[in-house]
Amino acid sequence: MGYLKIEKRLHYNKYLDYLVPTISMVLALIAGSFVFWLNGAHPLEAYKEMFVGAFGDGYAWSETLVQATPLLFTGLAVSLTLRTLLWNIGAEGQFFMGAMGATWAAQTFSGQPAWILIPLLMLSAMIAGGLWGLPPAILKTKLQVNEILTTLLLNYVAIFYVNFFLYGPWKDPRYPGFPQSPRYPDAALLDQYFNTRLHGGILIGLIVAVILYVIYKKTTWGYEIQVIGQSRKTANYAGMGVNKNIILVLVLSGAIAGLGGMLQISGLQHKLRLGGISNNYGYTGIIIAFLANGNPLAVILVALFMGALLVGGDSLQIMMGFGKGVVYIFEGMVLFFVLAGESLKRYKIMWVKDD
Amino acid sequence: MMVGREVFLQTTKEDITPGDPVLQVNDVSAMSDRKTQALNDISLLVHEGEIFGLAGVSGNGQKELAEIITGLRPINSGELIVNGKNITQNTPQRAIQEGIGHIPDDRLGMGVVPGLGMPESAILKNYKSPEISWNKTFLNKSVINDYAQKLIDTFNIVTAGLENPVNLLSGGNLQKVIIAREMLEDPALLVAVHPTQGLDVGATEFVRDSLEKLRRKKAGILLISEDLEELMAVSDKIGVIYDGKIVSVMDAKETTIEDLGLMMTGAKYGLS
Repeated sequence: MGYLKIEKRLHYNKYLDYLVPTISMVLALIAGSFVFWLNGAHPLEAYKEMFVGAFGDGYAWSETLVQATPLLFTGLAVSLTLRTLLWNIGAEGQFFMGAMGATWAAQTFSGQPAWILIPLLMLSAMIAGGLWGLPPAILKTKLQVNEILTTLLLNYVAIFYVNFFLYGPWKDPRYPGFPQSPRYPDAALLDQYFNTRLHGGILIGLIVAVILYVIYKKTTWGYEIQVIGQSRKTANYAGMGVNKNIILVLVLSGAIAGLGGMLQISGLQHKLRLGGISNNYGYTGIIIAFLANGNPLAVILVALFMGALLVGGDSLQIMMGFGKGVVYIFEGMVLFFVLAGESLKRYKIMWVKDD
Repeated sequence: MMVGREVFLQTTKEDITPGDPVLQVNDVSAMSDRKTQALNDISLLVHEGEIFGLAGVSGNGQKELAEIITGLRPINSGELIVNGKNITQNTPQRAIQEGIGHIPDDRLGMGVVPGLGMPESAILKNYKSPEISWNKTFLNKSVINDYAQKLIDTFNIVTAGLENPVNLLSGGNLQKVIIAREMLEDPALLVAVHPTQGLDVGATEFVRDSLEKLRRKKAGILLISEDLEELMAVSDKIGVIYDGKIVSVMDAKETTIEDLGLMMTGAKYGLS
C-alpha cells in the first residue's frame, strides 16, 4: 500500500496557469449536471439548451455580448484592485453611482450635441464612481479600516441614493407611478447595431481592458501596484508611495465600474431605474476578476463566459422551466472549482508507495 | 557548525585607511512600533571603507536604527547626515537617492517581490532610472530581462529561470538576489541587517566576501548582527548597542567575545 502526499511545487509551470482554470471549468460543468439531473432534466439536453440560448445564432450572440458588457467593466474594476491585493466589493454601488452621474449630466446638459454630451456623461459617471471608491480608500490608508467592509456597505448607500432620486427629484413626471427617470435625450444615447440590443459599450470595454493590460505590463505604475499587491513592506522598502497608490487604485476602480453604469443606460436602458440596470453585475465582477487572475485580457473571456451563463440561464428558465437560482449555483460551482484548482497550482498531490 | 568538518570562514581583510565619514547619526531619538522609546539620543559614525559592526541583544534598537537610516521610520530628534548631507527628513526614496543600500532582515517579505520572477525583484531600486524606464513611465522589458540575467550570471544565483517566482528560491539564493541588486547600485553606505542569519556555509562566505568587496570600493557599511564571531571577523570597529544607545565602540582587533557579551547585557558598565 501507500499513502497520499501533498507537496509544494518547487518549479513554476507556466502552462498550469492555463490548464488548471480550464480543467476547473470542465469539472464545474460536470458537477453542475447533477443539478439538472436532480431537477429531472437530461444534463446534456440542458447544456445544449444553454449553449444554443447563448451562442445559437446571431441574436443569441448579441444578447450574450450585451450581458458581457457591464460584466467586463465590473470585472476590470475588481481586477485592478486585485492587482494590489485589495478587494473592491463595491463595484455594484460604483456601477449605480456611475449611472446616477450620467443621469445628472444627461439632465443638466440636455441641449448639447452627442459629441459633447456623451463624453460629458462618461466623465460624470467616472467621477461619480471614482468618488464612491474614495471613502474606503481614505479609511483604508488613514485608519486601516478593511476595504472589504466599507466598499460592500457603500453598495447599499448607493442604492438608497438611487431610490431617493427616483422617488424624488428625478422622477419622470409623465409616469408618476413608476420610480424611473425621464428618458435620456437622444443625443445621450448610443447606437444599437444589427437590429439587436448590441451597443458600442463593448468596444469601450475592450479598449479599457487593453489600456489596463498595457499599464500592467509596460509601465512603472503597473509595476508599482503589482509590487504593492505582493508585499506592502517591499513596496515601502523600494520607496513606492503605498498609500497614494492604494487611493489611486480604489478610485480608478470605482471610475471603471461607474463608466460601466453609464454605458448600461446610454446603450441599453435609456433611463435610470432600479430594476434592469444591474443584474448583480458588481458582485459577478468579483468572481470574474478572481477567475481571470487579475489579467485584463482574461477578464474579457471570463466576462463573455459569465454573460453566456446569464443568457443561457434565461433560456433554461423559458424553455425548461428552471428557476433563476440555477445560474447562481453555476457561478458558485465555477468559483469553487477554480479556488480548489488554485491550490493545485501551488501544491502537487502524489501517491507514494510503501517499500 | 554541523557540516561534518571544521569550517574556517576567514575573510581576508585588506588594510584600508578609512576615509571621510559616510554616516553620521547625531543624538537621534525614535519610537518603536509600539510607541516606546527605541532609540535614545544615539550617536555613531561610519567612515568610507569601514565596516562598523553593531552588536547587541535583539530588541535594543537595532531594527529601528536600520530603519531611520533607510528612511522607513521617522526621526523624532537629532540629525542624520549621509555623505555630508543632512537627511534627517528621510524617506525610503530619499535614502535610495542618496545611495544608501539596505539588506533587510526580512528577506522574503521586504527584500524581494515574493510571488514574482527575478526581473521584478532585480529592478526594485532602479526601475525609474533612464536605463530601465523611458521617462520614468514605460518599462523596457528586454533591458530588464538582460539586467536580471546579468545578476544571475554575475552572482551565480541558482534559479529555474527568470520567471520562476523568487519565493521558491533557497534562502542563500534569495539573499544573493538582494545583495546582487544592492551591490550593482554601488551604494555609498550599506546597512546590512543579519545578512548571514540562517544561511549555509557557502552562502555565508559569499555574503561576507561581498561586504568586503564593497568595503574595498570605499563604501561605508553598517553591519547589524547577533553573530559575535562574525562581527569580530568582518568588522573594523564594533559598537555595542544597549537600550537604544551605543555603550561602547572598540577596534575589532582589540576586543573579545566575553567583553562584547558583557557589554551587550549592560552589565559591564552597570547600566542595567
